[in-house]
Amino acid sequence: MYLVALVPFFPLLGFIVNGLFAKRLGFSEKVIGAIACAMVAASFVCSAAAVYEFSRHARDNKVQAAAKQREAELQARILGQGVAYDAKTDTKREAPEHKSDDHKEGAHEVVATPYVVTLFEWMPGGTLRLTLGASAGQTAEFSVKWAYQLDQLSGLYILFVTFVAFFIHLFAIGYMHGDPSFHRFFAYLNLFMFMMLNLVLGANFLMTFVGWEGVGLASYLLIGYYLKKPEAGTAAKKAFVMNRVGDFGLMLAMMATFAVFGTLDYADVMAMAKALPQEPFGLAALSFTTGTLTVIALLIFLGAAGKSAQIPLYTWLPDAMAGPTPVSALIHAATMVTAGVYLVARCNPLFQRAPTAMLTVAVIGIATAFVAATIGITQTDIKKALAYSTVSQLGYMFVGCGVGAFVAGVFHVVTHAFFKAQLFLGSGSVIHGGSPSGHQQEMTYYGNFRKYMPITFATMMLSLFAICGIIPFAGFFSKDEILAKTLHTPVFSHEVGLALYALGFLTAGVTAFYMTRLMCLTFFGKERFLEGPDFQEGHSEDHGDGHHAPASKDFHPHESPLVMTLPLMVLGAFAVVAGFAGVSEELTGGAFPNYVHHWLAPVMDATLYPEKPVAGVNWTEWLLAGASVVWALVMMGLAYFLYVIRPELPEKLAQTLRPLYTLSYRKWFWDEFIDVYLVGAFKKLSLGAWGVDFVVDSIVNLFAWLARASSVIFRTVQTGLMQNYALVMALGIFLFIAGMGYPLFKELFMPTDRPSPPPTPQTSRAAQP
Amino acid sequence: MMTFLALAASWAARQASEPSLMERYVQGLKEVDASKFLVLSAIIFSLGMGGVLIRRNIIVIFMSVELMLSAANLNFIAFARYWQTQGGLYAYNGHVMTIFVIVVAAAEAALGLGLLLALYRNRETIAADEINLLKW
Repeated sequence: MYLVALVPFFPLLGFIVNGLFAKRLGFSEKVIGAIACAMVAASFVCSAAAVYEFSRHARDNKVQAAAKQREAELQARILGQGVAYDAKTDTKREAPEHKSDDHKEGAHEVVATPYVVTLFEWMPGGTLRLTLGASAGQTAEFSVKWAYQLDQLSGLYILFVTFVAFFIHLFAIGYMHGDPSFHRFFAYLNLFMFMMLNLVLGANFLMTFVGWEGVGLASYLLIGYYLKKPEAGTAAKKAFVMNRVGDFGLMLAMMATFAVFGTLDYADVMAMAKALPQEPFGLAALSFTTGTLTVIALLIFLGAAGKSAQIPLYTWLPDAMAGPTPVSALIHAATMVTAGVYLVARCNPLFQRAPTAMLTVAVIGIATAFVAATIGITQTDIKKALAYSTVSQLGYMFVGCGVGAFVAGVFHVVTHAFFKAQLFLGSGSVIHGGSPSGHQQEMTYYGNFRKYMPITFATMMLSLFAICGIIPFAGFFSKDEILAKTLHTPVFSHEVGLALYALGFLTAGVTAFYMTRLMCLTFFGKERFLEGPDFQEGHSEDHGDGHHAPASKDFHPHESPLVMTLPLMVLGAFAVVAGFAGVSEELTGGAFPNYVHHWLAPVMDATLYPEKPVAGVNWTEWLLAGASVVWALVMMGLAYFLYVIRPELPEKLAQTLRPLYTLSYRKWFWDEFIDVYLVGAFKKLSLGAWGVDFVVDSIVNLFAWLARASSVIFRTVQTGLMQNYALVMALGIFLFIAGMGYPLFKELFMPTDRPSPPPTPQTSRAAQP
Repeated sequence: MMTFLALAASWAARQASEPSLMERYVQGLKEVDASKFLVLSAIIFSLGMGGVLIRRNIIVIFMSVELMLSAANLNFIAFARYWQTQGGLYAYNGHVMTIFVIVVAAAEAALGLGLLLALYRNRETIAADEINLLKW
């Protein structure tokens, strides 16, 4: 299991090699691509080996017993029954011998057995006094270690992250072919992988935070990868700034966590949180006295909302599509944006004790899902449409977490990673082969591409069915489980569950509609690619390759090379089969095991909301699932009808429903709202700040001026001539010696006329014999 | 006249009783004690210091510094010899120190000359009074 420490190391190596040496040593594209891919592949192999070993380790009775013992000690401490906690002795402790009765008692309950590899102590701090929550007044050792933690959740994450990332790297070799700074791109991609694995594997909040900021940085670099495109730079800045807002919440959450629990290690915090009672619901919980965990959970969710592009911080993600398409696939669909869900799932004991935060998560999630889906209907840029789809799907994941179905949320992350990565790569393939410049993203200039790109078309159709939730594709199982769990949520009242379910159900239909629209516009209907700006005289868009002459009209869209279609096929295949890893046991009555659920069960806290045992096939679930499949099929049919059979209708509809259309097309005016009310207010505020600044500055400057004026005389001492300095030094030494030496000289060599005083040791040396 | 004779006699008597200048010189050479070295050392040191303070050419200043170091070395040796004659316990400290100083002086000369070269390449001058940028 030590292999887990190597998992982030390989991409770091790739980043260093490609980033520092590739250009200097003149590596060819093949070498650079091979290095980058090999590093991610090595990471995947290490992950697989480590997770396999861990799966056996976690079942070990001794390990289980030790984990339980430790959990009990930590819980005693947080409840104030134990002695002061000492982090140093804890981590190095041998497995304590367990009492047999203790073991029997909890034999059926499996606890989390995180496996932690500590590389070095990163931030040794002093002993601090805790100030919040149940343990206020106790002391704790602040010590943050550079440690990687392998448990069921991080194991699952590293597996699919490295797997999907490998294929995206492979795709990128083809997609970025001929790019002038090929090595820079792959170095960034590997840097991103390193940071993402740090985020997922980090054993404490701060390690995750390193990765959290690191993926933000990598994202910034990659969104702004096309240095010549001004909108790419703007989008990169926007992504960074919006993420900072979220990070601010996460930082506050970390501080509060330490003040309550006295440690930042996930394993300890979560074990302790399990012992705490649930906090009250409602606004009363929004204070550190009555709702410590609620505040922490809400702050964590603020961070998660920033990273996972939830309302109100969601607009950066669609703008981030200015980056190259593999980046969109890797960062903005499959991995980085799921970090928010990861953190919420990781902190599930905290969230479960904070129903207010749970409701916030669920409501924000469903609102984001719905809003983003409605925006997706009218987008004409293929990548933007997909980006809104991502935002919407992330909303679903948060709904899952918010209603207490953390496993369902994480499972949707996994299936979504496959089919959304596939969709983005497919769109990359379309963009790559759909226009002479290879940069055309407007679906208005696509059409009937299925004739030219059969593989891309076929594989994207698989993902389409997956995202629309058609049985038995991957998205069906994960999305349906989220919806089912929403309806039967144990956290909220039935009415709340029903409302969330209704909106989720509606959104599922909208999703099916706009995704089918995207496919229809791209792959069906009239061929419109010759109307594109590439064929117009003197088109102004600079695509980086510098050619402005209109392209030849003989152009035909073409299928991408194998290095690009292979990832499409593999990910497409996973978009079909990945769902079977987590088939809800309500549907099968336990006949087919829900692997994901059983795998993740130890890290999900079940003390407040215990699992109900599955009693046979639940036909209500089948009814609901059937309803959502039918609903999705109806909406898909509607989209097909509108965009293929009667393509003139959407235009008319847009005319009739002008306000709704504008609302959707302008993204619910959220950017404008931020611009006017936040940025505008901030600008006004800064005007006032400028006045304050002026007064303060004047006072400071006055003192500076006084000091300067008074120095006019004295500074002339500094002549700059070294011999002057030497002379002064020599004179000084002379005076010093003279001053010190003269009394001695007088005593020794100049006898006084006065009679010598009686010889006592104190008087002088001259009087001594 | 009598007075003159008396003076002459007393002079002659003093001449006879005290050794002549030449004799004193020879005598001094015969019993060279530490003070002679110290005086010589002081003279050399003063010359060196004077050179450092008044010369313009940095190379000459450099040489003057070496002179000062030599004076110090001489001082060390003189005291070492003195302690030796006194039966001192650590009579070789001064010799060791001198070796040290020589080594350090060699290193310092190498470094200083390197600096000088760099300085000359940059400023085209090695006159101490023209290198005065570090001022108010």
